[in-house]
Amino acid sequence: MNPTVASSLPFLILIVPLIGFFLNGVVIPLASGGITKTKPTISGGIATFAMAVSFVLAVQAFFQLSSNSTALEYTGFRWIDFGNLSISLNLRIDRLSSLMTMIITGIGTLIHFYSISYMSHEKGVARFFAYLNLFCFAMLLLVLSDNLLFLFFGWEGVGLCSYLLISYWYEEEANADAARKAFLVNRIGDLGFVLGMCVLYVQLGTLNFAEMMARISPTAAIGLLSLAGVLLFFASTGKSAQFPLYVWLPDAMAGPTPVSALIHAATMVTAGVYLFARMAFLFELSPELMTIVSYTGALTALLGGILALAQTDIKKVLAYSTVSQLGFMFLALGVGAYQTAVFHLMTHAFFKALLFLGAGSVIHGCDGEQDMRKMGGLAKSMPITFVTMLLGSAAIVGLPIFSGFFSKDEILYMALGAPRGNWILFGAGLVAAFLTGVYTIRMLTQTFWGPSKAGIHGHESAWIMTLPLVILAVLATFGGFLGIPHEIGTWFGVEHSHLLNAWLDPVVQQVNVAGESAPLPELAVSGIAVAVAIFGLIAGRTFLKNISFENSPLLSRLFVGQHFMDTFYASWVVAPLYWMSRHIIQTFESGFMGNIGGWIGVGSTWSGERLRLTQSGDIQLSMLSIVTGLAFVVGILIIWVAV
Amino acid sequence: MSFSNMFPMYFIQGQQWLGLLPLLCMALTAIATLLLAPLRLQGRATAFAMLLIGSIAAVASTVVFPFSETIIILDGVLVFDRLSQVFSAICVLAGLAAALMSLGFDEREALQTEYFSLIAFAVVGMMAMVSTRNLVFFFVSLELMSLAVYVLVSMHRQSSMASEAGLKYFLLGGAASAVMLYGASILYGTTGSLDVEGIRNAFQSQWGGKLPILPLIGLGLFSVGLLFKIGAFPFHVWIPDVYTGAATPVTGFMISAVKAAATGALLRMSIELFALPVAAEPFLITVLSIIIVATLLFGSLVGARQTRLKRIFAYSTIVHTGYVLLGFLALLGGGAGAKDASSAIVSYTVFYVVMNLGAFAVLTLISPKDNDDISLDQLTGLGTRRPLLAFALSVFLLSMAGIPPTAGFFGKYYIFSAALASGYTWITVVAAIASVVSAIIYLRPMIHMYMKESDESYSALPSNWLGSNMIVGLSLFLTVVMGLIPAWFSKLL
Repeated sequence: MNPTVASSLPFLILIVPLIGFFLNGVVIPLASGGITKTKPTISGGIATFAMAVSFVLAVQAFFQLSSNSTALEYTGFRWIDFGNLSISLNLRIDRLSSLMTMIITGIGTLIHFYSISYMSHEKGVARFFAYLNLFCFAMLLLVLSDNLLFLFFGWEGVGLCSYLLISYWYEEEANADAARKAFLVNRIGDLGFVLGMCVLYVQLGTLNFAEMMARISPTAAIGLLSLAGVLLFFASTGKSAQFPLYVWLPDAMAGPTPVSALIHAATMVTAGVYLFARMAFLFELSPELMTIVSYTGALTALLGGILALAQTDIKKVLAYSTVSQLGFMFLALGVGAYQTAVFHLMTHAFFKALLFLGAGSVIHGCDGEQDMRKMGGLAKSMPITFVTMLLGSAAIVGLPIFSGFFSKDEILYMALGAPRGNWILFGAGLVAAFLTGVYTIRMLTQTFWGPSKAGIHGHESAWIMTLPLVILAVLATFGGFLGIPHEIGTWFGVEHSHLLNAWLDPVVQQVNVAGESAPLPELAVSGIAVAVAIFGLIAGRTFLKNISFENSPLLSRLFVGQHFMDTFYASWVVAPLYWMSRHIIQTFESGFMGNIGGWIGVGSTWSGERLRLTQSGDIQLSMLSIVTGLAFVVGILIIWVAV
Repeated sequence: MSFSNMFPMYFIQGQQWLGLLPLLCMALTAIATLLLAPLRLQGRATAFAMLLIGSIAAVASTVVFPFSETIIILDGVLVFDRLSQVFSAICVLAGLAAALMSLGFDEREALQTEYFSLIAFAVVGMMAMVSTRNLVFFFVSLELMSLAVYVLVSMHRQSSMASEAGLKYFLLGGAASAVMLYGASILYGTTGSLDVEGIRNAFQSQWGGKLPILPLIGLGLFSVGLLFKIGAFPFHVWIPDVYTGAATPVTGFMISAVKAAATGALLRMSIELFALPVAAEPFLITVLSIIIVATLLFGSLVGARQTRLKRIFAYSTIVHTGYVLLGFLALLGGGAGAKDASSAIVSYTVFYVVMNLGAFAVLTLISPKDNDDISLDQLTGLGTRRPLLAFALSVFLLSMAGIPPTAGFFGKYYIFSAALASGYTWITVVAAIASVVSAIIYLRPMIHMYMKESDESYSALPSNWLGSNMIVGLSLFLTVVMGLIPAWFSKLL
C-alpha cells in the first residue's frame, strides 16, 4: 500500500460548498439587489448541486483511498509563518475522514434537496441555503483538517452556522433565545477546546495530528497532557450535547427541521465523537478520564431516553433521542471502542436524519403543527412518510437486520466485554435501549395510529421531500450490513464480515475483546438487546402509549421541558452569576472602576486638548519643536559621552 | 598620469543592467512624461498612460529578471538587493495607485498635467533612496523625492491651504535636510568616507564600534533627518498641516509611498550603518525608546481629538510610525527578535501602504469640490448614502486599528512579537496601550458613518471615478486577503 498521495480532491471537496455559499449569499443577492429576491428553486438548486458535486468528489476520494493509498493530502497555503510559528492549512483524507466526508456530503445532499420543497413557502430562502452550504463547508473543514487549529476553526464555524440557522426565524423571540442559548453553552465548551489546544501546543510544540501522535509517546509529562484530554472532553460535551451541557440541543429544535436533521442529528453533534476517534492516542493516556467519559455517556443515554418519554413535541422527542444516542456513542468511546462509536455515528446519521426528515414531512403535512397530542391517524394520509419512519424507528430501536441493531448491539457488547467495560455500563445501556423502544413506539402511536385528533388530517408531501426519505430509509435499513459481527459472518462463511472495522483498522485502533474473557458472547448480548427492545415496544404500545406527565405534578416538574436541568442551571449558575455581576456593578464597577475609566477618558481628552495646542500650524512653533528635539538628541549624546 | 586615471570611466555591464532596469524605466518615464505630455491635446491622458506603462515596466522588470546576488554599481552608489527591490516595487505601485486615484480629481480641481510627471520623479527619487549606500547620493535622491513632493503639495492652487502647506513643508523639510547633510559631512570628516561600508569599517577599525562624540553627533544628526521624513515625535510637526493642506490623492501618495521610501531607507541605514554603534552604546536604545513612546502617546492622544479626516489620518500615521520604530528597536536591539524584525517591518509597511491607499481613495471619492478638507460631519450617513464605500472605509479603519482578520492585525502582531522576542516587554505594553487609545481615532469615523443621522446637506457628492473605485476595490481585496493569508507577505525580505 502506498503511503500518502498528494491530491487536490480534499481541497475541491471543501471548496465547492463554499462556492455555493458565495453564490447564494453574496453574488446573486448583489446581482439581483437583495437576498430575498432569489427564487427558492434556484438558490436551493445551486446549494444542492454544490453538495452533490462535493459528494461525488468524496466518493472518488473514497475509491482512491480504497485502491492504493493510506491518505490523500492537499498542501494548502501557509497561513502564519513568522519566527518559530508556522501554521498551514493542510488537508488530509484518511479512512476516518473519508467516511465522515461521505456522511456529511451524502446526507447533506439529501437534506439540501429535501429543503427545496420544505422551505418553498418561505421568503428569502437564499439566506437559508447559503447558511446550510456554509455549515457544510465548516463541517468538512473540521473533518479534513490535518491539525487541531483548523479543526477548531471548523468547530467554531459549525457553531456559528448552527446559531444562525436555529434563529433562522429570528422575528420570534423564542427562536433567538434558543439560538443564544445554544451558542453560549457551546462557548463554555469551546473554552475547554482553546485551553486544551494551548496545553497541547505548549507541551508538544505542534498541533498537527500525526506529529502530536509521534511526539506523545516519549513525553514524560503525562499529567498536563491528560489535562488537555479533560479539556477537550469538556469541549466535546458541549458540542455533542453530553451531560451536563446537553441542555441546548432540545431548544435548538426551534430551527427549521432540515437543520435539525443535518446539524443537530447527523453531523455537527457528532463532532465530539470524531474528535475522540481522531485523537484517541491522547485520550488513551488517562484511563481515569475514559472511565468518566463512559459513565457520562451512559448517564446521558439514560437521561435522554427518560426525557424523550415526557415530550409532546415530535421534534423534542427526536432531540432527546439524539441526546440519548450520542450518549451511546460516548459510552462506546469511553470503553475504547472507537470504531464502534464511529459505526453508530454512521447508522445514527442515517436513521436519525430519516426520522427528523419524516417528522418534518409530518409537520409540513399538518401545516406546521408539532404537538403530537393533536395528531393521529396520519398513516393513511401520509403513507410514504409513515412507512419510511416505521423503518427508521425499527432501525433506532434495533430490530434485527436494521442498521441500529448492529451498531447498538456492538456498543452493548463492548460495554460489557471491553477491558474497561462492566455490568453497570451494560445495564445502563440496556435500560436506555428499552427506553428507546418505549419513546419510539409512543411517538409512532400518537402520530400515525389511532383516531385523528384536533381535526388534523395531513397530506403527503411532494416527491422532493419523499425521495430523500426513501433513500434514507434504504440506508437506515441496510446500512448495518457494513458491520456484521464476526460470529454471524462465519455462519455465512464470510471471513471479514465487519467491513467497517476492516476499513478503519489502519487509522483508528479498537480495543479487542478476547472471545473467552467476555462475560457473555456477542450473540447472547444481541439476543438480550433485541428482547429488551421488543419488550420496550410492547410496553410502550400497550401500557405507555398515552402516558402523559402533565397529570402528575412531580413527574412533570422533573421531566417535561427538561425543567430539572434548566432550573438547576438557572438557580446554580445563572442566578449566582447575575448576583455576582450585580454586586460588582454596584460596588466595584460604579464606585471604583467607573471612576478610573472616567479619569482615563477625561485624562486623555484633557491631555489631548492641551497637546493639540502645540500643533497650532505656526511654523515658528514647528521649527522650535524640531530644534528642541534636535537639542535633546544631541544633548543626550554629549552628556552621555562626556559623563 | 593617464587619462583613465584622472577620469575613471565606469561601464555598466551584464547583470548590472538588470538591476538598473527598473530605475531606468522610471527615470525615462519621468522625463518623457514631462517633455511629451504637454505636446498632445489630451495631455492628461497621455501623461497618465505613460506613467502607467513606465510603472508596469519597472515592476515587471524586477519580476521578470530576478537576481540572487547583490548587484553593486559604482562601489555602492547604487545597490540592488532584495531590500531595494521590495521597497522600489512598493513605491512604484503606490505612486501608480496615487496617479490612478487622481484621475478625474485632477480634472475637477484643475491640477496641471505635470502632476503625473512629478509623481514619476518622486518615485525615481524613492527608488534611488532605498538603493544606495552613498551618503551624498542618498541626499541627492532624498531631495529629488522631496522637491517633487513639495511641488505636488502646493500644486492644488485653488486651495490657499495647499500653498501654505507646500511652503511649510519646504521650509521644515529644508531645515531637516540641512541637519541631515551636516550630519553626513561630520561623518565624512571623522571617517574620511561617504560610503556606508567605508564609514562602518572606519568605526570598527578606529574605535572598535565605541564611538567618540563627534561621529556620534554626526550619526545623530543624520538620523534626525530620517526621523523627520518618517514622522517621529518631535519631528512630526509638519505632518498634520501638510497632510491636511495637500490635495487628497497627494496626501494618499505621501502617506503611502513617501512613508514607505523613508522606512526602506531607514531600514537599510539601520542594518548597514546604525547597527554597529548601537550595539556598542546601549544608551542609544534608550533614546530611541523615548522617541517611540513619545510618538505613540502623542499620536494617539491628539489624534483622538481631531474632527477633520485628513488630520485624523495624519495622526494615525504618526502612531504607525511609532509601531514601525518599535520594529527598528527590535532590529537594533539585537535580541532574539532581530532576525524577524526586518521581515516584520517590511510586512508592516506593505499592509500599511495598502490600507492607507484604500482609505485615501475613499476620501478622494467623497471629497467636495474646491475644498477637500473633509470633516467628520461630512461622513454622517455615508453608510446609507454610499454603502459600499462606507463598508470599504470601515474595513480600512478596522485594519489600521489592528482588528483581525484584517491585514493590520498581522502587521502589528509581527512587530509586537519581534519586539517581545527581543525583550522589550514594557515598551510593547506601551504600544499595546497606544493601540487601544488609537482605536478611538478609527472608530469615530465609523460612528459617524453608521450611527448618526444622515445630514442632507452633504448628500450631493456624486463623484464616481473609475480609478479611485479600482483602488478601493483592490485595496479592500488585498486587505482581506493579507489578513486571511498573512504568510504570503511575512517573508518578503
